Amino acid sequence: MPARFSQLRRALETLGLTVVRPAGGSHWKAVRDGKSYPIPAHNGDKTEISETYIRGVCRCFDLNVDELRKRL
Amino acid sequence: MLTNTREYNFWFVFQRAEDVPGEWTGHCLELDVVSQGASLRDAMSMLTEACFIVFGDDLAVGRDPLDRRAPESFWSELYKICREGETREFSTLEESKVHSIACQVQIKCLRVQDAMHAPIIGRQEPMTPQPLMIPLTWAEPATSQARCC
Repeated sequence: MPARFSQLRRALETLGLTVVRPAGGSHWKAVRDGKSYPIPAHNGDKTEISETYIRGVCRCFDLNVDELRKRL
Repeated sequence: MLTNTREYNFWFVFQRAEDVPGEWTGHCLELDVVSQGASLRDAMSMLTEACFIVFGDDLAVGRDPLDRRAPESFWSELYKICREGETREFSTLEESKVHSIACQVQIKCLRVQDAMHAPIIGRQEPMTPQPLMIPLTWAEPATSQARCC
């Protein structure tokens, strides 16, 4: 199930990640322990983020997909 | 200042996002980075930008970006596309009915070594070289063709 960028940003923050606004470009960044993962936000807060992406960010930070989904 | 370049070939896999109509997702398997865009061309641009971010950030903190490699199941999917798909011109795929696309993209890095930090011949305790890898340029897909199905 997709999620809006604004929802995903809040959910990642509640899981202890820092979400950083970019200096330029269309991606924000989720950061933890110096490791970063770009978040596509080409339509701003309303960007619909696909399940494929959500699983990708979970793999990167070893997050439980269901736990993240509960917070969306 | 001493410089040399290094090139990497990354596999990108694009698929239509089934849960977000009209969007394409892109996945770089070597870096296990996913992005998406409102068109295939946009997805290519977004994924390239995402890879650039990951590559630069990892190198800046001394982490090897290639340690992020995607799980084997994604590579199996890539092999399946390559094995069963057909070769087409990448530029023709936007309007086609294909669902999955695999192509390679090349990244060129410029390795910069500050001469001030380079070992000095004859010095008893040479300073340790401090190489800094700076992503320099991104290219369009290494080939204009892609495998698709």
